[in-house]
Amino acid sequence: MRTLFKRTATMALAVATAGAIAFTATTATAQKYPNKPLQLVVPWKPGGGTDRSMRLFAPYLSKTLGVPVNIINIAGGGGWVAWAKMAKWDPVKDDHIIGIVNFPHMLSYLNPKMKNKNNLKSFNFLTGHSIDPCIWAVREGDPRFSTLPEFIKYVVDHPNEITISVGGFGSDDHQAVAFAEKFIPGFKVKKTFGNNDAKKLQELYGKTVDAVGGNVSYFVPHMLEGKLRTLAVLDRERSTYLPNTPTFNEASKVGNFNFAARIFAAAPGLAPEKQKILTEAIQNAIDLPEYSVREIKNHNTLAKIDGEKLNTFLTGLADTVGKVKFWDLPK
Amino acid sequence: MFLEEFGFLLNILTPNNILAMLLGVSVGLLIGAIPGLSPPMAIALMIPVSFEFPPATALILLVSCYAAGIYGGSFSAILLRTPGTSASAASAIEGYLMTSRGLAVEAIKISTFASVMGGIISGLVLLFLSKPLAQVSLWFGPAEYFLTALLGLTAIASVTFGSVTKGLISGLLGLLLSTVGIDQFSSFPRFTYDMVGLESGIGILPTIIGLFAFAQGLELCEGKAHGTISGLKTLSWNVWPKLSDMYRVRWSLFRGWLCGLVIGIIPAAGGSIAQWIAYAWEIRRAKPGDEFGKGEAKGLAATEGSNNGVTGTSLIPMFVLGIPGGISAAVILGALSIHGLQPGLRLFKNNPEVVYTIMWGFIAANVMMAGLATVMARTFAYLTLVPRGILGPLIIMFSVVGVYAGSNNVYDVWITVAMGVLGYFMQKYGFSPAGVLLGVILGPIAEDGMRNLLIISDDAPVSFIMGRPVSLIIIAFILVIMSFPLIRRRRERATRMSEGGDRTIESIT
Repeated sequence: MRTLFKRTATMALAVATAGAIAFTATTATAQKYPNKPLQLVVPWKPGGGTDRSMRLFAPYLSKTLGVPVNIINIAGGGGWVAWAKMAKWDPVKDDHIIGIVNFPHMLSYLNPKMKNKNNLKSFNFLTGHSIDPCIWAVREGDPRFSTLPEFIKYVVDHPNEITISVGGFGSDDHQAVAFAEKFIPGFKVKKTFGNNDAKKLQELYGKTVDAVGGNVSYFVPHMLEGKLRTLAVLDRERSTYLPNTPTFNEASKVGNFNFAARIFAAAPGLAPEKQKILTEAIQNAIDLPEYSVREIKNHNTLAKIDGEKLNTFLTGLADTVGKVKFWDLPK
Repeated sequence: MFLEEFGFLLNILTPNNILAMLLGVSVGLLIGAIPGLSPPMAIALMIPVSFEFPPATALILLVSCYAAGIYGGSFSAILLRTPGTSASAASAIEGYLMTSRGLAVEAIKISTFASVMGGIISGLVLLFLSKPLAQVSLWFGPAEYFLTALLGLTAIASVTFGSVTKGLISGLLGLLLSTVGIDQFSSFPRFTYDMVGLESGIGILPTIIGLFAFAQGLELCEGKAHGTISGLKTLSWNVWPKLSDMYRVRWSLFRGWLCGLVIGIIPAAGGSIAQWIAYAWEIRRAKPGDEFGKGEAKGLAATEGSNNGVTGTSLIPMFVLGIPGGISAAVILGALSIHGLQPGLRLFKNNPEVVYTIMWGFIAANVMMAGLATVMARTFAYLTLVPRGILGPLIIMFSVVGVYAGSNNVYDVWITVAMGVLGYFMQKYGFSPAGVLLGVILGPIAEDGMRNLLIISDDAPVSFIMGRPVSLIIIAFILVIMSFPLIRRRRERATRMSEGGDRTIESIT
């Protein structure tokens, strides 16, 4: 008797749920898009750099999109708990949800040890949000080197003496150093790992390491304090925040480019008209002067890159990562 | 010499600043008290709210939230043995034991006094001594982090009551669990069994919520459903701490505050480590008649003093060097830059009104916290009168919801449940959940420190450490703390033998 009751109750619940879903689905298609709050997935815990930037961005996106924008943090797996979901979003059911993909983090799928079956094609990228170039920096007043050529010469003359703090294994900063080790003859350095930007600077100022690899947005304030000397920006052009710092290519004739990029993604196979509405709303929000002023104060480099250009950018980055194969390099 | 700092004291008295403080303290207390929701999350949630405020007001809101969040975590730790934040786990031991002896209100009084005064002292250190003290954080390199983690791990032996062997087994299990996830030095997935959710390792928050809150929920489901955890039917209204009550624990308070102040300055160490070291130190100083492991007020005074003693000084490296000491400080730093302010000595020079107003605001928020907290604590304390049969399932539900709300990651929920079952049986069979927790918290710090130490010292860590004074000081501390259980045992055995008692079992173990 009890089981019978249970079974009936479960069935009733199932029918009710199905009914509710069907009802929402039919009403949704009849209305304009977007017709309910948009969810913005941040693949990290609250409080990180991407999270802060998106919480800052959400109110402006809400303005251009006309619906509320809610931040959802899905953390874990170095971003992959959220990204694995993004690759499987349904173009109809999940049309009110977008997410951030961080590069080059996401390219960790290229590392065969990770046994990750996703690739660039698993995602539907809408547009870029920001591209923060890597920089190399040393202590201001270090008597051994103050320019990139001097630094490279010192490293080549003293192999395995200089230590660079590069954050996580496979991070953009590590990959940039790995690139230099692969393509600059005789360039051999020691690397410390497992550090965030804060700890990198702690190690540099405390003279535990000799140089750091990081990003423009985080290090510019420290340069202004007069404690950090940037050797090079790892971009094709100089950074507007650091007009006197040469690019790596200018200073060394080695095309060492790397970035921390944030790119928006939506459900794969999303209807083109919805895709267009989302992309335009994001780009218009990035263009709002009151928003961009705030990001400029953060020394962030906004980049509304989309379409074919975005594809070229991402495949280029993936090519570099695949060429350097940081996971195979000896320590 | 301190005239400049005092000049900005009155700035905090504008209605906007007081309202910001009130909002920050209220949100912090609430979010801190809910297991699974952490202070960094409270601060992150307040960032959009603070956009429209002038910089000083916005930052007052955030630092108030931070101070109150750490303190709020203690409510649930003391009253229900369900620590709300990682910085309040140690308080769940003596604090909850006090509650179960019917001393919930006394425990709250000590916690309030220790936290509020700890926060104020820490704020004053931040205000007046931040420039010279910031340099201390630069003395810490990989060697010092490794040794600090080791110092924290030695606390396991002290905070384990009963079998030391079981304590060490617990600690080693924690260390083993801390190796799960992608190796930071080779990106090799360790013990992940191809599960994406395990790649970022066993999180500290699910571990704490599981080992303490979830396990507590399970335990409450045993026994008489109508009984209460404190055995009381009514609560005293006498919640305001009196100085005379604090007299007995005065030295414990000082030691707790000192521990918090010092460890706060070291980036990435923070309240979760300071608490355990303060607690171990306290047990080490135990006198005959002290009841550690049975609800000793001295232990609670030290742990509660230390975690709020951390709050002010942990902002020092952030303000002076732009190096945030923890996630909360990093979020606050982010908020500063949103307002176009970059921390560093230039900020002190160019915008002293902002810096000093924020710091005064932090101190004032602690004072305000005292008032609000006393009222809230009394309300929270009613939970101890709820029958176990209702409280147990409620705690289990809140643990799961809290953990999921923080990360939206189902793996974290499973880790919580697994840790909960583990914690439940460990408690039953005399193992130490605190040992597991310390292993999980300190394992990665010790590992990263050791491996980076091997890299920078060219595989010659011993000679490298010998040349670093700070490392040698930490080693001295470790030796002192480690020798303690041996001395205690020898003394106990000597007493027992002189009393002619049965020594056969003890002398074998």
